[in-house]
Amino acid sequence: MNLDQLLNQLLTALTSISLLLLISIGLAVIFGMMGIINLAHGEFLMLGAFATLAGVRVGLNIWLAMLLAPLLVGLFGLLVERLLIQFLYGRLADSMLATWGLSLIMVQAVVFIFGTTTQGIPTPLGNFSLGQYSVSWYSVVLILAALLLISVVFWVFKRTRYGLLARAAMQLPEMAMSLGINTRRLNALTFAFGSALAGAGGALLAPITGVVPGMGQAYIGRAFMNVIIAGPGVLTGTTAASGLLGTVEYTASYVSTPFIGQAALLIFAIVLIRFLPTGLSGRWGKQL
Amino acid sequence: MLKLSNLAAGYKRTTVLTGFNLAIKSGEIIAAMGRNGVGKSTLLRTIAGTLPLQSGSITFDDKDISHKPAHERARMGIAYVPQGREIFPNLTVLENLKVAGYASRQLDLNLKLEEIFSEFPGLAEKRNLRGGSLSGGQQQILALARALLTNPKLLLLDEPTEGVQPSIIEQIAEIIRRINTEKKITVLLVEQNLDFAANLAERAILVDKGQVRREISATEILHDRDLQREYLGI
Amino acid sequence: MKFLLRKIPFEAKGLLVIAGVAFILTGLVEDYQATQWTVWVIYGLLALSLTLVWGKGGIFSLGQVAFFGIGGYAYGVVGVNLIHTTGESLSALVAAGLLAALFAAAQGFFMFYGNVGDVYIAVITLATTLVLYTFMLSTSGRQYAIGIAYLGGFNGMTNVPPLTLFNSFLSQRDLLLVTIIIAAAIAFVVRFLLRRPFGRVIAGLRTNELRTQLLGYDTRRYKLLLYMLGGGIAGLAGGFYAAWGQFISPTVFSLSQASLAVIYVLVGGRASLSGAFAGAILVEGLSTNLSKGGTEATPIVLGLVMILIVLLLPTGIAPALATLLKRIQIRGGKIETRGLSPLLEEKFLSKTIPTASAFRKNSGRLETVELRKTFGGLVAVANASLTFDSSGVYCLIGPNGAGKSTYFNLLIGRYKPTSGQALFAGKPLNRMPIFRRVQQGMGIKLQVVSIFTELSVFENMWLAAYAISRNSLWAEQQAGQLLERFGLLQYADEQAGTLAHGQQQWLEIGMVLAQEPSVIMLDEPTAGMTREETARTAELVRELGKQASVIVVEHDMEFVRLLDAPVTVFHQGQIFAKGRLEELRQNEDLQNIYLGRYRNVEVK
Repeated sequence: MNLDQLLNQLLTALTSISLLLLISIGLAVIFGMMGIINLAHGEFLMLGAFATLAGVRVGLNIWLAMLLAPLLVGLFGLLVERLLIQFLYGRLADSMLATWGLSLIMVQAVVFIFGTTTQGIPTPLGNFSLGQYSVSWYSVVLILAALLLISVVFWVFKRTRYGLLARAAMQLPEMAMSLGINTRRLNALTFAFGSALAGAGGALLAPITGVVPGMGQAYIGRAFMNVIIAGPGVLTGTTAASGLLGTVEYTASYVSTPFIGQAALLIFAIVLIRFLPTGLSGRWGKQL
Repeated sequence: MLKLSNLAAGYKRTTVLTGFNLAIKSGEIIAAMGRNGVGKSTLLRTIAGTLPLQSGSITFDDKDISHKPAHERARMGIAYVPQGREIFPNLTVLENLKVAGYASRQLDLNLKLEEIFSEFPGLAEKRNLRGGSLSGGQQQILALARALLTNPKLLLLDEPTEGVQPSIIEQIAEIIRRINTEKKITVLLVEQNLDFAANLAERAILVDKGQVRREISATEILHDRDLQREYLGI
Repeated sequence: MKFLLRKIPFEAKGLLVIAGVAFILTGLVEDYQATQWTVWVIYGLLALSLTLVWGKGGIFSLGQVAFFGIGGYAYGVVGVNLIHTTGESLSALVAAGLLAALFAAAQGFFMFYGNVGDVYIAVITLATTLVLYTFMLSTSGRQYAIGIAYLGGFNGMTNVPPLTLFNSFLSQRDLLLVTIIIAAAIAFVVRFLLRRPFGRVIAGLRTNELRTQLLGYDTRRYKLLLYMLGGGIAGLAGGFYAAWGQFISPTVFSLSQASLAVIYVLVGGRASLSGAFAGAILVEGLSTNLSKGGTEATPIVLGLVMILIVLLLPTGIAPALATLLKRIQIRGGKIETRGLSPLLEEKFLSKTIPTASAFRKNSGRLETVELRKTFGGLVAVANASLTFDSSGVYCLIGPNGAGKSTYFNLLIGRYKPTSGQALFAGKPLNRMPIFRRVQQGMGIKLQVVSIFTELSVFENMWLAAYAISRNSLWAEQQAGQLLERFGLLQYADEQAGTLAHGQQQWLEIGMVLAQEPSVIMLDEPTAGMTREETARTAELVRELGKQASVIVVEHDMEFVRLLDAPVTVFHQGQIFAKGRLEELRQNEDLQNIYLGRYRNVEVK
């Protein structure tokens, strides 16, 4: 294999991994910090994509639209937390069922507003050549975006007041309350933050996939398994899991078809969780 | 400044405290003693608010706090240091303190932090170490410093000497004494270590099967062998 | 005649009634109605399988629809291959059920024998159905065929044969009739099964899995069997589905289909068999009517229904109605008991029944040799060597964190030792799971009361007795006698959760005794008891010590005093002293330990 081929493979693999990270980081924050399983996560991704779409249609610059989308989805997340999620803390099974119901509503609501035809935005920036291969600049964007989001999450949790309180509440919720932290208000913010991250992931998906109300379903399975495999470490675990599962998916798709790649990821994750029930970062405790 | 009337508290189907009555005056140091399982930790948790009471009432500073959530009680001036200290293991010493500062909305936090560090030089030199890597004794000091930062009126301590090296125990007693005399903070502590408790507190209450059985002076419990045998030993 | 009628199980009679009604019904309906109702019943059967697995078994299987889909495809593949040779598709139907059950067995084994938690079961089952969805979508090419059946990828299989017998296929109405009868038959068989010992163990398992294990049941095996049954039923429903529509495609594995199964069960009441059908029919009927109205509001309504039920009516509509009916019934007259009380008649109580030794040999004595347990750097138990005779009471005491609870948990099997051995009748226990230790003759009562709160007091006791005898009649008699001995007989039919705390403790102790164990492990048995209850418990324990080895961990010194038994004191993980309480009280060092004086010092 020559250098060009190797670089091309590497780039494609990294893009796979980055994509996995982008669709999971929002779910990881919510599950890791609060223990809530949001089965409507795919629909939050979808909202981000549609928000970007709407922005572009209205004439906004695509990058601006991608910046605004997470804000909108974050606000929506705040609403959802106040109206629904706050009654479900500690009720794992019920939170799964209720958010499943929410996802049904969200999909249909979007159908009402946007209709069912597949829409999309053209992939921006075009291609560049890597030896004999033509590579999309957007893949590089995705990789950079993944790195950016990781940095954002790191900065928010390590350098802001909210982040410190949230980390404390994640480690010892009762002690945090005894110190005077209103954990309920904190949870609302965390859910909003996780939703915003999901919105960002969805926004970045918009140029490379058909934007359709039901698109969430294609990603929820992989996002889920990624988060479960990641374990409690929101950043460390998710990055490690994305790397591992992303590589599995990429390798399997390379050897056969993308569908098989997705199936392989899921199967690998199912087997792995059986042997590592606390996930990859399970031994490192509740931390970032 | 703290009054418990006919307090009943427990978990789900079990009631651990029944008809519990206690009155603490401002500025006192009181020790609650008794064997395991009699309800001492339950008592502190109920006062702190992490455990909801089943019946009766709690009055703090003439206000009824019986149904107030824990974080509000903390803001009113009740600081709780649980058994095992509950230092945030994956936060640094500095971050542990900052959490307390943010939580209690302290103004001039940096100033207050420097004050704490000058009072506890041992913590100052470890300020960037992970909380979980400290020894038991150092964690206890950190927990006390953290509680102090919230400017409390009442300090609830659950077994402050547990898991602490003997060399630091005296230091901890000293800190608590200082907190009480200099900052006029009332202290209610639960302790298994008789000597520690009796030398620190003025009053002791003996708890058995969920109720206050005797209220005596600390010197009494320190010297009365029969009392010790009945309520503490075998 | 009347006597004969009573002997025939309710289920058989019910089935006949339903068959009759169905026969009449199918004669009356229009063809298009028959088609519609058939699929409603099929969905009802799918809902039944999930109710069985989730509502009755407590297995949170969100991907139950996977078996439905497997059944559908199995019917399609086998049907297409065989129809021209055999002229029937019944075999394909059977294949559908069997293949689905097999798949359930594999997945169930993977999950239950791996001790995977609730959440993970939900995630794994959901992920599995997604894997199948993704996989089947990619089977478009001509190479994806089994025999002469092409899987068809995204488009699915369009040549699935209808339900055929003797080369002729059933009409719409006949299909409806057959579907109703088979669905009812399955429902009644399930109902019958749930009334048998198997079903009662499942009920216990769902209510309190730990207690079920502590009674000696291999819960993993029960869950696996139940899951296979559920999978098979779903597979059969899937086969019917494929036969009904003569079509099967990957959408059957999709998230939306999976959510429907869950919604049916939520609406119908998680634990109600008839509710499963009611829920499916209600939801499908609602959807059909909503789409007739022209709006696409169905998913929104369904989503709202899910949310509202979870928030407001967690047990579903059917049980809410049932509770309402029960209240009306109470006002009307006496409430039907579950039919168990007649057995508690005088003659059963006074009858002498064989002891448990008829069912298992009693093992010898318990001992530990250099047993050690460390958690990370902390030594919780350090080289503890103790021997407990085959009879007598032994008390383990010590201040908090001394190691006695860890030692206790090592003996019962909750912790695995770091080194050293625990032996029961000379046999090493080390890797033996809890339930097997109980089967060997260990009786366990933990500190927090652990009984089957949703089941009746009688059923609680019965489950204990059945666990070691596997003889239902003996279990009933043993249960009755023990309830009488503990003064709980009058509460036999009441829900165990309604008993006072002290009574619950007694019930639990009774359950342990019902198994006539040779070693009885009690962890703080008098927690939360009043003074008189404590005294009575001490009396009971002394009595038990005459025939069995009773090991008690305790804090309550009054209780220890009353027990009048040899005491072992733990301190910092080691055995500090052994002897009788009176001598130990004179020990200065021991007093100081309790006064916390040696807490932070290494004692020689």
